[in-house]
Amino acid sequence: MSESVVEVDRVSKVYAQGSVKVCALRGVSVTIQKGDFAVLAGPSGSGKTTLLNLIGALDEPSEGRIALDGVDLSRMRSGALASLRLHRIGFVFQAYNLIPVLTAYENAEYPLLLQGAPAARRRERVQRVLDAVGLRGLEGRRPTELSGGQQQRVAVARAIAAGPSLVLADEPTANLDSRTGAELVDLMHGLNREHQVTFIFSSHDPKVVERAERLIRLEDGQLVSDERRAR
Amino acid sequence: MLTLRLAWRSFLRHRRRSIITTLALALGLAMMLVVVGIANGAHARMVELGVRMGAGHVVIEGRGYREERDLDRVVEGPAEILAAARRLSQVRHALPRVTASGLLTAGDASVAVGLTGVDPAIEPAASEVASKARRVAGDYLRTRAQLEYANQPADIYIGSQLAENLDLGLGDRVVLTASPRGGGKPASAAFLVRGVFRTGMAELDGFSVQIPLDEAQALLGLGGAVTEIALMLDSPDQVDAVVTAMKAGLRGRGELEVLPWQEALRELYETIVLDDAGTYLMMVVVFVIVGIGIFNTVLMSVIERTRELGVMMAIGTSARRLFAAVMTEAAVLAVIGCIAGLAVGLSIHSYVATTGLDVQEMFGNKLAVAGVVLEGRMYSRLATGAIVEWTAVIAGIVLLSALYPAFRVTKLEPIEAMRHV
Repeated sequence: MSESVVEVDRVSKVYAQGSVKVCALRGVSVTIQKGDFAVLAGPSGSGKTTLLNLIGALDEPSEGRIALDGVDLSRMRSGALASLRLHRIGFVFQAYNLIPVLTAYENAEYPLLLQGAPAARRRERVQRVLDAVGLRGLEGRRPTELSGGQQQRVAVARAIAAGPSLVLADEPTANLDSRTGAELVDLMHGLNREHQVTFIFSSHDPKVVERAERLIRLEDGQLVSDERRAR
Repeated sequence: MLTLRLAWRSFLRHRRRSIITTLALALGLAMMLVVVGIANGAHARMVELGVRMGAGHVVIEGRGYREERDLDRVVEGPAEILAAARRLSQVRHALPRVTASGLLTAGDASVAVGLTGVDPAIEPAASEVASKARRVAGDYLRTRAQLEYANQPADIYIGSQLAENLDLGLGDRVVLTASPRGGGKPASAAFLVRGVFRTGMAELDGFSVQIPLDEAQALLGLGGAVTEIALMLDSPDQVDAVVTAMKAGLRGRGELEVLPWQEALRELYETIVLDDAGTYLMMVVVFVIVGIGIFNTVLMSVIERTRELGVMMAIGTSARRLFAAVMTEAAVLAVIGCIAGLAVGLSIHSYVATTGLDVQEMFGNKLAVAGVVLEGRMYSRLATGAIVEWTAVIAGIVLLSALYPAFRVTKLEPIEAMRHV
């Protein structure tokens, strides 16, 4: 039996927009296993990003419980949550969200620096992940000197550099052209297979969705299907 | 190291804004050092002139003599006190003096004057009035033993304006009248004009005369007593130590008091204190402007980067580290601004400290402050401690101004911050 990385148990999320309450998630339960390559699919407003934010300890559920590696997130303070995000989770955002004053190398190195990793380990690790995402030779470039696809590759390198047990990617291909998007999915797939990194990413791009090994569909904040596909 | 790297890169990100802020900071510090240096220099010059023109750094006199001008409140047995004072290493000159009011008559004209009896042998080296530099005609006073004839009138040394008002020339005979100790009939004595001085101070030039100490003691019936002993020190910084030492030495002589120049020249001292207060007030305005500038820069920088800061939080940067990052950015501004400010400020200070500023050129005339005429050149003066203090004050203001923006960052929610455009 495979080990569970994320347990989402009857989670709801209600936002208040002025006097109107918007229910973004309604009683969603799902368990993500170690090594999963899962896609959250669904139309805009279905609750994909909300669920990713909750799993990523960036937001708190209104109801229900989320556990990461068996640890209940609701029992943790903000400092402990920051530490958890640093050590266990890698993030890839739709808009790349790199630190603009740092080079590609430094962006990938950032989480390792926060972790206080020794210089030799940082060097070895950053070089390895930059090689893995195909950015050799571009280490010294700042984000503004890289294409969208290259920036997203740096974001992936940053997400996996510190060796997290889980990578969350919110619409990682949304701002990329089809070919670059497909290459990025290939890259993440490769990392998933070779390094056993668990990936959960959201997308409504059919080409991305068809690559999913596990497809979790959401509609109106509810889980409508959860299917596993053969590798 | 990461925090410092981020701070430095952020400084470089908006170069123009960073440079303008740094310049404002540097100019604030430079201006402060220059203004304080010149004010210190001017004050030191005023004290030096005030002290040399009259009172001395420390004055020993009969208790209440300054207010009452009562010749019964004098310093008896001054020799012992003079000897004790001269044993102190900080005392350059110890001057016995008699000061009183009198009436100077020349022909039909009379002028009320302040008369000072001095020791002609030691006064020229110590006092500005008696110095050769201030002499416009004749020579300085002689003791009776130095006179050509034992019974000839003693010498008198008078101010230039007084000489002009009474139409007096060298060798002219005048009569000085004063009320002697214990009251009674005014006493008079004749004097021959020996020399004329000009200080630029109307009070001294128009209404002041000096005569030999023993002549003053005889005229006023003081015997061997004096009205004050003025001490000239190597430096004004030694005043407190000398006052303490003299007070200890005079224990048991309750009729005497030891006054620092701040009490003997109260008007001058209060003027300096008031001027310092004005300078500090101006500095407060500069501090506020610099503080607002820094606050604005750091806050703008934080608001502009809300999204970026949200991402940093999302990927695991703690609130404490973000606080440190913003404060480090402010520290980078402070360090660069202070280095530039010190370079500019100390260069100007160094120039003014060595070359000086011509007071007459600056003000078009001699500048009189609290009865002291500032003339010649004014030199900037800054103690190392003051430089360190002012630099620390500016750096402190920068860090203080950054506190709110840094604190604001710690309150960001990653999700909200990342939605910021």
